Amino acid sequence: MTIEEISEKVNTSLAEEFEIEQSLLTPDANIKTTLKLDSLSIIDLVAIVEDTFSIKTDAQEIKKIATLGDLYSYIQSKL
Amino acid sequence: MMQVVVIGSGLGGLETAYILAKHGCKVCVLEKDNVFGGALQSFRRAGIDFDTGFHYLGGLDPGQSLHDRFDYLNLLHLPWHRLDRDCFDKIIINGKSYVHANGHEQFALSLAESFPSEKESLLKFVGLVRQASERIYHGADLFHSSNPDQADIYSDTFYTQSAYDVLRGLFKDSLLIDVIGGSGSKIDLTNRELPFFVFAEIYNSFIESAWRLDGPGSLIADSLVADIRKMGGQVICGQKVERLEVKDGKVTDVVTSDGNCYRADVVVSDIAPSLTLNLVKDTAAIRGIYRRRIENLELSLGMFTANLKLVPGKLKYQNSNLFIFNNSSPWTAGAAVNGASVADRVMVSFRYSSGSEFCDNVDLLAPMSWDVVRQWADTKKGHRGQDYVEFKQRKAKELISLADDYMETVDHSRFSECIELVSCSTPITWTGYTQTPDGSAFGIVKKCNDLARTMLSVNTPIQNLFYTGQNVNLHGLMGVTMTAWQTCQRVLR
Repeated sequence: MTIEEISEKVNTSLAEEFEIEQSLLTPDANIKTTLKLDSLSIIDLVAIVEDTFSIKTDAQEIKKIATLGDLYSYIQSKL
Repeated sequence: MMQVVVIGSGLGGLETAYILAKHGCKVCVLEKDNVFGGALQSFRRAGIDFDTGFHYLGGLDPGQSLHDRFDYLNLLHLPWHRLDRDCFDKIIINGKSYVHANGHEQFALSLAESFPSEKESLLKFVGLVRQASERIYHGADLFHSSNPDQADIYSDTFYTQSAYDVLRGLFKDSLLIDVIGGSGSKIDLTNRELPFFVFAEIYNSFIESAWRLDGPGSLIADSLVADIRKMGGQVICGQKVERLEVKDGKVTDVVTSDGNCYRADVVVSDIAPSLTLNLVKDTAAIRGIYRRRIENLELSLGMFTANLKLVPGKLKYQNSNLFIFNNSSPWTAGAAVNGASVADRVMVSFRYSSGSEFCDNVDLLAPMSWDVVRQWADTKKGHRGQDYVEFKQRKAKELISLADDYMETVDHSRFSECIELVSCSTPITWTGYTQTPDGSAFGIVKKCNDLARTMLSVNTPIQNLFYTGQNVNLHGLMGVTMTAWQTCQRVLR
């Protein structure tokens, strides 16, 4: 799966489930400061990612993810 | 003065209310039932008080896991009776007995008598149990830790490894792993992904010391309620909460089904998280994704209980619990998930009565899944049908038969011949009295390989709504007590 396909799926979920404006969903958007996802929401996001891409994430690795771009790359590395 | 409404009067709700009242909050506990206490309720039949959820606890001596907390909660004055230090739990597997003794070294050495080649591993095991529980004890302490969030559970092998894997790594003999897990029906070890630290925290307190009450478990709830009221708090029964009013992202009022409205600065929910979320009708306040995540969490097995009234003066009191297994393992569900199978394990809990060498009241317990009783889920209490009655009778008979060989009577008659009355409860009964979904005895299943999702925080997406009770963090009486402190810490922050 290409980064573009991954980002489209992730961004669709973020827009639908977290009601985040599409214009904010750029690769350099910081998940905590730009998208304003708190710790509970990040767990929800991880749950979506795992279900959407049928992958199992590693909590230690997830903690290192800062931007949406990091998240896309991480998902790609797990596929 | 901060006005706190607590939903549900189980142990977690009452402990949270007690701590907050002591910190100067105005607390009001709302209980939907006519009796408070949740799983601490007792019921009276034929002149005897039978217990429901509580049977014994650990760590009450000074310096031990529960002592300071129970002292704070004014629960040490209750008539606690110490179980046999040399054998507080007796594990009987296919007819052979093994003991769980108090004291870390003694626990290891007693089992080493049956498993001599595993002596070093047993000593290592009790060391690990103590080490894990000490770390947790400090981590969740309201008075000694400024920030319980600091603990990085994801890089801590006590959290990321399962109890089963830790034991498998330590011991060569699989029978020993069953013997150690033998008393595990109190934490549901059929969940093989149970994080080691949950296991360690609970086991450690029992290895320290083990106690049952000279009286019903409801004494715990009675004491907490009396003290909450003395401090000016309220505990009101017959108040079923219907919805939480949310304004600007905060709960403002708690509304009951009979139209009463309780203003709240903070709301603490001691009912299941999924039921708590159902009370928030405002869909903007809690996102659908969060609701779905919570609703989809797996729940632990429930419990089948046969409460027995015995012919007075016949059965000898045993100052231990018995855990009997017949071709089964505490680490697999076996007959608990198949109603057609004959019961393959039972826990026997003897009621202590001060000064008497006899026991007139015994509880037999065995894990049971919701699926086994699902067919009667929509029936009404007292009208569930003859097949339900027969099912309960059959299960009670199976448990009695499992216990029959290990009970001592004064005249050498069979235990099964000393029974005057049998009262049974199933996971359906449990749900009826505690509202717990699927009759689950221990709430949300905690998984070492999915900590973020299954170890719920006491925080909710609504800033002044918090969880407490055994669905959050840890479970069992010990876990609920530690979580109550954590909930209060967040409320008072």
